[in-house]
Amino acid sequence: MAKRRKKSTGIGWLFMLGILLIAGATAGGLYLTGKLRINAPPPKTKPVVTVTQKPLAPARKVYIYVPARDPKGFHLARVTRATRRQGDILDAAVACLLETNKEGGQIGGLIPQGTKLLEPIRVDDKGVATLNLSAEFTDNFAGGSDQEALTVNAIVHTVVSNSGGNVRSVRILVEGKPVETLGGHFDLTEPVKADSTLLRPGSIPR
Amino acid sequence: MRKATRYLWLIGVSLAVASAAWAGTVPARILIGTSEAPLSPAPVHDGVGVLAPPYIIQLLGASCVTSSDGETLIVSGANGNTGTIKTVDVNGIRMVPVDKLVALVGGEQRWDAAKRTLTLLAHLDSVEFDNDTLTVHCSFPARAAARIWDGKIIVDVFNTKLACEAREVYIGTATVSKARLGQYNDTTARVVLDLNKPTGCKLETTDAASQIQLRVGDGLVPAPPPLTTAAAGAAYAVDSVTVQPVKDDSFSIVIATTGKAAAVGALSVSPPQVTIDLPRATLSDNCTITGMHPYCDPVVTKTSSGVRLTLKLSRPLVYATEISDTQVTIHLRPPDKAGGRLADKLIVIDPGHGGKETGAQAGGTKEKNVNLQLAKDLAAALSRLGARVELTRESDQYVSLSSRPDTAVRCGADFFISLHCNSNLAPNSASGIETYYHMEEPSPKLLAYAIHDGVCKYTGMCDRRARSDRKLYESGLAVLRGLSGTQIPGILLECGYLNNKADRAKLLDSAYRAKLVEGIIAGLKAYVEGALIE
Repeated sequence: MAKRRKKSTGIGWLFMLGILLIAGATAGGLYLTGKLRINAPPPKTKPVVTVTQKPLAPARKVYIYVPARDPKGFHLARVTRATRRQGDILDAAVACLLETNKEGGQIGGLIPQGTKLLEPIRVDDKGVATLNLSAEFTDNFAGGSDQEALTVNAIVHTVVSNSGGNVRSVRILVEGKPVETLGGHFDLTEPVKADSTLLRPGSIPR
Repeated sequence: MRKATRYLWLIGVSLAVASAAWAGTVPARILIGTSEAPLSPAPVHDGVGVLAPPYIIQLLGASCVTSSDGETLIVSGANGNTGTIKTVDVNGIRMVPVDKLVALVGGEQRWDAAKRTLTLLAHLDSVEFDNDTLTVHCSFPARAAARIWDGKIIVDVFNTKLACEAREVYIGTATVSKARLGQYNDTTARVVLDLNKPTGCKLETTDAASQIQLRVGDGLVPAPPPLTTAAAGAAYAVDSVTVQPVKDDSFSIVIATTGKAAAVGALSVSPPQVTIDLPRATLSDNCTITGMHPYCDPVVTKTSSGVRLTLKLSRPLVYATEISDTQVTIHLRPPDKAGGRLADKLIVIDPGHGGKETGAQAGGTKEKNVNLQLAKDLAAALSRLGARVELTRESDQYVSLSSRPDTAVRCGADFFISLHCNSNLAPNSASGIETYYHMEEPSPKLLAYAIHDGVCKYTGMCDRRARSDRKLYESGLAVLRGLSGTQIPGILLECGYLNNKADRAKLLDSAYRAKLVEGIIAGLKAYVEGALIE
């Protein structure tokens, strides 16, 4: 009797082992093919040496406008970025926008490579903000009318949307001087208003 | 025996679990409120959640950009929430986990496993009242209906859950005392405006919107609720249509109505006609058409949404619409510089860019050179017809934007045609032809429609539409703005995408350029002589 019970237990263990093997293979296969999403525990980190450093400036949120694509083509969409840059919020926002040219893909192609803000943005009592950009802005632009409209409107909307209602239009200078155009389609000799149908509805800040 | 049965049962359960896990994805449906989301490819359920193509982001009123890794999307919701979502590869297509998207943009989701259907409801986040306008902020687009009842304005927001903690919002204007918010039923949120005195209201957003706006004021009437049944009645009737000659070749069509109408016009060059749609109108039994004009043959028909007036024209004409309480008047006239023969006209051709300004560049090709070659081809063809031609530049030289339209003004041109090639941020992503006119100026608009129609028909290129330059830039295209008020109709033609390999090859091919030139001339002939574009 005791012998029979021992034999049954052995078969049971074999069955259990088989089930565990099937389940293990299934889970492993799913994990390798990416179909199983597991919240993996955080990797163990090595102990670090604490170094006393200057406290970071608090992060601020700025709005920038970047190109987004739908079946009809490109338009501008507003995204929020956190920045620790100090100083005026408009300078910080434009700096964030200009930095997008270090990114890849369609975002990185919006601002001509190497474009820099040469001095702090000035806003006059009529609500006109003046940006002084480096020569790379016009020298390195090689797009069509769609791209030119997106680039100028992205700058203008970025300035206006971070101004708290203080800026109504934006004048763009290059190396301190007025320029006729960025790419040969649109006029830059006069301040540009933030009024374009290139924006996706709903992306205007409240 | 009992143990053997137990083991068999255990094996069965394990195999069922394993087979379900290996089965991969199954098709699923997404309902936004009560409407099925138009998605292709269809959404799937991967055993964890529903995955949908990225177009779901736009359906939820959000926008996105793809990060440099090509797998992560930076999503910005209609309420300003921004975050990143990692896409999942489903049979080679990047899909968006809908649960993560809804968590980001805001809203509720219900999964019905039996029907494999995910229902999404928007959140009603907040309300504002400013400048006699109530704004209801939702997490994604929702439809609404408004009505006045018992001294209150009631706004029902469909397929929406109230997510706002405030149940009363003090307003305190002379007309509106406060707004009250509540959940009317399982899928409808309600905003009630308590009025201090009787007034009217009008729902400004008739389509689904993330920001629903309702204007409050005397003389306004509520918009009808969304058309859920055939019972939605007509607001007015069309009694008669009268053709009235005005002066020379100008004439008017007067549509007499029993109430104030909304009119939506559409222009066509080939065949030449203007259609005026009158939504929610009915046709009176004794509606008559009186008067006549040699340019026009009016036809009135009933449509599923109202009444349509089709003006079949003997040549392309410009039109303007004027609406009063009891009539819609359509003013028609030949466009500026039309009439006579194309051979008698002076055309200024503007090859875009030049000199230090190269324009777009792709694959070693510079736009300024393509534009100049095309301009020379067009000039030669027009000269062969007998027309006079001037070019704003004849070599690779820089010409300022302001001096280009000045050339047309100085030499008394009849038409101005600026030739360009387009380029965008994603190589090989766009192809085809666009034609721009300045703002909504009627004659340039008709010229753009005519030339665009001709070029698309002759080249067979993708039709990216004739459109206003206002779509791109607040002040429009500089060379076209310089012609404003001069009576010289001008257009800017984007002849193809230079950063599209196939378009670029065509633009460099003389046979393609010859077709392009033929199309431009066919459009000019339609505008000037009223010739059909074959």
